[in-house]
Amino acid sequence: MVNFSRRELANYAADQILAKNKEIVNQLASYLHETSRTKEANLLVRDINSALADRGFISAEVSSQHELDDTTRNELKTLLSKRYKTNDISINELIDLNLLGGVKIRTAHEEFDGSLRRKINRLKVTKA
Amino acid sequence: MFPGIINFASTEAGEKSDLLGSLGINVQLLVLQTIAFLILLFILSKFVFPVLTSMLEKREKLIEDSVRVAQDAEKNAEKTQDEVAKLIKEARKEADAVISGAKSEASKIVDNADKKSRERAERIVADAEEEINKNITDAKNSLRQETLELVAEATGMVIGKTIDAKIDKQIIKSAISESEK
Repeated sequence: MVNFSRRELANYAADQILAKNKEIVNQLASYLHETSRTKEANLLVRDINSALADRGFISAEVSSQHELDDTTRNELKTLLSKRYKTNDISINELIDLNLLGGVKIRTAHEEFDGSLRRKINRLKVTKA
Repeated sequence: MFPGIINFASTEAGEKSDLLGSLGINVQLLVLQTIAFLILLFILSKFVFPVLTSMLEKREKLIEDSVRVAQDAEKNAEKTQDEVAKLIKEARKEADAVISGAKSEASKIVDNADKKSRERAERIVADAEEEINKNITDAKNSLRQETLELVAEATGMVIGKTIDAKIDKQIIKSAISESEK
């Protein structure tokens, strides 16, 4: 079997996702299993997000302690649209009780942590 | 010469023979002894005395030389004694100077050692003070850090129990506004 690099796989997967090919996930999983590269799955997801971002499709992972309401969700989409200058925004919401409050946004290229946990941690490491 | 003398002696002896005889002196024997004495005296003065005189003179000269040498030696000894005394005096003077110098040097060494030990003691005290100050600063920082961590933990515990969805929404809104800046 041909051994593709992770970047090649990510670019291929990004193109297939934008082409609405729903089988790509199964194909990638099979390929990683066949080539004994399942440990690269998380890195591949990150690379796919990066490839999608390069193609103007932003996939953001938003973590909060409570479920987001529509108003907040729209505000987040507006924020990401302005920042990446695209309307192709996908938000993947996660509940993280460890955040205490606020929100944490992670995209392929950057991460913004507006949680109370981060502020408390900053307080801990504040120097005299 | 001897017969004349003998005749004269005999004549004189004849005149005084009675007198000398009364004294128990044999005139002829006396004359002969006199003559023998004179002969002996002549021989001695001719052959022995000059040798003896020469020997005595040599001996006297030797003695005089010895005396002079002894005197010279005595003078030399006195001179040497003076020089020795002078040398001893100079040596004592030098020794005094050396002792004085040594005392001065020892005093300097003691002063120097005293100064060094004082400086060392001051340095030790300064280092100790610096170490103490550093420990105090470290302790303060450690205490401050522990306090901050306790406050943070307590804040986290309190916040975790008090924040509801409504307050969280406000916090998220604030975070979004912060990220736009």
